[in-house]
Amino acid sequence: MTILLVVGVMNLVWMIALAAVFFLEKNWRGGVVVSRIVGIGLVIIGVAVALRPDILPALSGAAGSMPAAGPMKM
Amino acid sequence: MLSVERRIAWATCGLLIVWAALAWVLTVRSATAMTDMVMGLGQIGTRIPMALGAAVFIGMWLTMMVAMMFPTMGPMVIAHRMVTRKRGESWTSTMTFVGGYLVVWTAAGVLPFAAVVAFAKLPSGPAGPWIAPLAGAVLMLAGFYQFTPLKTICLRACRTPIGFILSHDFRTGVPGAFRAGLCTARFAWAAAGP
Repeated sequence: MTILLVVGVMNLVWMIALAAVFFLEKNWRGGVVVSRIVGIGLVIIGVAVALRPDILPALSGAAGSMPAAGPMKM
Repeated sequence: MLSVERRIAWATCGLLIVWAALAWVLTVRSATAMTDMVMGLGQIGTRIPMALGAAVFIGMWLTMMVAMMFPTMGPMVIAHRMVTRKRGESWTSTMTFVGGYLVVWTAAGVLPFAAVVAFAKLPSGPAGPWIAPLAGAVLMLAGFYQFTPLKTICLRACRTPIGFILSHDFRTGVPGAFRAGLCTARFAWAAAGP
């Protein structure tokens, strides 16, 4: 769940992915292996983000509607 | 004709899935209404910092937890139902068990809410140079967490529901069911990486 603090609490894509991981971890025979693979994957993504900051907005679904210095709309 | 146990298992899973499906519909709705808002480190600089009230956040968070967690908790709820049924307890115990579970997941929303409040206070503009290293560090920590003893123990508890329920003395009745819900959820929370 900590991941959502990085990619956005209401990030649907990550939410669905996490729900699937939780389901497999708890209920599938190979759940423990899934948990390990996810761990390795997260460390790799973490290193990548630290080295290449431009990956971060893409991970966070931020192809957003806000222009860099556009007017605020609410 | 299905045995009673089978019917209980199907009914439990069916109800959990119906609730989860409803929660997903609501979650998708609120997520699509919030695509302009900073709700994570990775969105700083590309979205607008906006404030969100505690009540709105709790509603959103709880709905999201139902959506994500209810489909995974079938075996645990069935295990609890089977054990309490043998003692002659009604569905009230089971619903209380699930209620206790949700109480813990609501509490788990405190940290994310604090983060969302902090995001709202940020000046709108490009992300500072500290954002990416911080985000990377958080992701790495989440990854390493998967290999800690805490994760291993809690995931094992979630994977062996009957053993978990039987090896803990929650005592009987509705208060017992509530305690069982709280305890189970703490394990589930720790297994999900707080």
